[in-house]
Amino acid sequence: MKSMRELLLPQAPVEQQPESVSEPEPIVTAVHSQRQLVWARFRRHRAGFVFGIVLLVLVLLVLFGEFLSPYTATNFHADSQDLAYDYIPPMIGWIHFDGLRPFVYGLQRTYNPLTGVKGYAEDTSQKYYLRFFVQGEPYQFLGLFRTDLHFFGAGQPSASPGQLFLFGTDRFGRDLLSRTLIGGQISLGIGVLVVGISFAFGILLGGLSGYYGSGVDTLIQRTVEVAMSLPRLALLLALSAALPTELPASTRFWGIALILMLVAWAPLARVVRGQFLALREEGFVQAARALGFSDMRIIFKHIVPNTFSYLIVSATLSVPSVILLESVLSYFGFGIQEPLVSWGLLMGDLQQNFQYQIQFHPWLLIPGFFIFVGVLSINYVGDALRDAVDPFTVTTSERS
Amino acid sequence: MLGYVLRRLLYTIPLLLVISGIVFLITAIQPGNFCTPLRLQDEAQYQRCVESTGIDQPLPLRYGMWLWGIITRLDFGYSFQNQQSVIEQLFTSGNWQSGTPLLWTIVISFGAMILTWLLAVPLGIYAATRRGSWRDYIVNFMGFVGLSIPSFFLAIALLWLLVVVFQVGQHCWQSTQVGNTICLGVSGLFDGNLVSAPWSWEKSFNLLWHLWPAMLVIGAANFAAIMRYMRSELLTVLSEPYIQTARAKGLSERVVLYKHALKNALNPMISMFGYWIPSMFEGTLVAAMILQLPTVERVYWTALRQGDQYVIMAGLLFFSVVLILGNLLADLLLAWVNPKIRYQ
Repeated sequence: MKSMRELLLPQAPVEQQPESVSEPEPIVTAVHSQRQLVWARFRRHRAGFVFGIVLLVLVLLVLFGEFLSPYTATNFHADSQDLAYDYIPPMIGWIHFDGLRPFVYGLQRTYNPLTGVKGYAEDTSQKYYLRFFVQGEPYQFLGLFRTDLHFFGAGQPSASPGQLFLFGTDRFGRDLLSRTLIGGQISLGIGVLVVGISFAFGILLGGLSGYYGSGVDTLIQRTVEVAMSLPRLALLLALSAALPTELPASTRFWGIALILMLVAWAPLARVVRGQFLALREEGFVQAARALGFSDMRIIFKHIVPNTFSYLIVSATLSVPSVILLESVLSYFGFGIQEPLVSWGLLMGDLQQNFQYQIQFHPWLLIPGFFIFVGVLSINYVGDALRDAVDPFTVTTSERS
Repeated sequence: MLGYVLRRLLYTIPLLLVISGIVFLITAIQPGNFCTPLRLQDEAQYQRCVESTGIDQPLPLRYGMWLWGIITRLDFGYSFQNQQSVIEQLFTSGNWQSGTPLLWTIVISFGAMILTWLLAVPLGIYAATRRGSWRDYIVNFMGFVGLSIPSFFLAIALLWLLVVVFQVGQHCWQSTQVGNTICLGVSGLFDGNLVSAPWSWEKSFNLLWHLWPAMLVIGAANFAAIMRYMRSELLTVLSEPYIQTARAKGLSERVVLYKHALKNALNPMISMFGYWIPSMFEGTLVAAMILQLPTVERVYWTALRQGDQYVIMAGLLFFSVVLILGNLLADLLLAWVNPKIRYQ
């Protein structure tokens, strides 16, 4: 037994061994940059990593949507008698295989005299083989050049019954798969766009507010308070009703983006201000000030880099709500308008004669799954990023 | 404390004034007003409509008159469409049998809220105490799903599941499109034949059957947020030294959890209560439209589509007041449970 005294006293330093004359042991220290550490912690968040990959795939699918989809988003499809191929059910189950070669049968109209339901069936008299890299409807590839090459499709002329509508069609015979992939460009894009711009605005205002304090701070904080006391969704609806009705669709898109920024900037500005308030009193900022640096230099070279990762995370976490708000607006017809497409707008097709649509055309729900998966993966990635950047908070994920 | 409450209450007065201005401006600049459709038919009728509604008056004058009416007589204007006062249109139309919009808004929003809390808090505790296990992961995943699912999509998908897939709809009618009957028994608050019927057991059960999809839609996002919040609060508390002390002195895990940890973890949760009120109302806004709930939100929707300006303004004001009251409640609760907050 050691005596109490021995226990309480710090251990005496171990006697230094006399230095051996042989070569000193090489010191191996792994040096990790902050970025490597963050990346390592991000990798350890398994769900975040998996959903990061899902998000990447989704973004690629959407980015190359025009190329990957068999049709364009806006072309109407009709048979040789010019009757629209409306409400064709998803044809995923109608793909057959000839050995390894996939094919579809031609489309045939059916009519049930008892129920009065019009429908489609396979006309097994002719096979249409599916091919990769087929020529189809022309489009702008990434807005760079015109081409008519699509990744896959049946490669039949537009009036042929051999068409491939994997997710079915809408009431004008437009291909839902193509519309979904291309619609994602606006759905996901508007989230990044709106958060990006309101974030820059938030850094400017929140920075001014937090750095200068006093009068500027009071003014900006009161503005933030008013902005945050307005009901988000109800306000957005009223604002988008205030947009002029005869705007072209592309101008209206910017109008909607602007409206979304109006509700997105305030919370971000508040976060930025909090960070600036905390860092303003830190030693390195005081030192910079003592060295006589200009305010702008201190803000952008000293404070912003120190809090940037934290701010990026809050920005990432506010992307989902913007995407959800846009989809709600577009679903109810208050958001973006045809010929532009977004996932919310696509689901809006359900609204006319809702009871009938939901019963007989449930595939119009498909774009909703894309909203769900997109938002879910951004949420997971944001969560993983937060854990990676700030290892001290206990959050929902495990880092044991 | 009383001084703090009074100061906070006084502070909302200028806030409400600014908000009333914003609300008025947003609504008044909407292109095309209530009378515009008449213009196409008959110019004289249009002129009469403009004169009777006073839409052509200059904006500052209209704002002044509107505000004066509110301050002096609590008169929020009147509905162009139904020729009744906005208060009546938004809140008190209807009767004892069918209920009034305000009543349903309160019942549905707060019902969803209470239900959400009753489910979310225990699940958060469950997840936190089984940290890192597969159960925790599943609960966690459910939380993320609730956060990520668009409420309108959830509402439509529920309707589709209940009516088309499981065919548990009650309310059937003859469709002109297809000739057969269509059942959609979960939208609205009652089956069609019961709406104006006197209250009975059947009607009450019917109400419950119609309410639960609405509750689910409204509560989903908040459920996820509250559950995740509860879980992380409890985890933070469980890592505190005084929990270690409690365990070290041999207290059972039950006592440690429920007597020591939970009390401290619930404190900040209670103060957050107010912050969730506005988001409940936001959820009701979407659910009211898709599930056809006869709430204030639905009146607001209709007014938006018809350009019924004073109803829109009053609706927006109402939602703002709810939001401000929610925040106020949260701040007061926070000050009450946390003595470290200065009342300055």
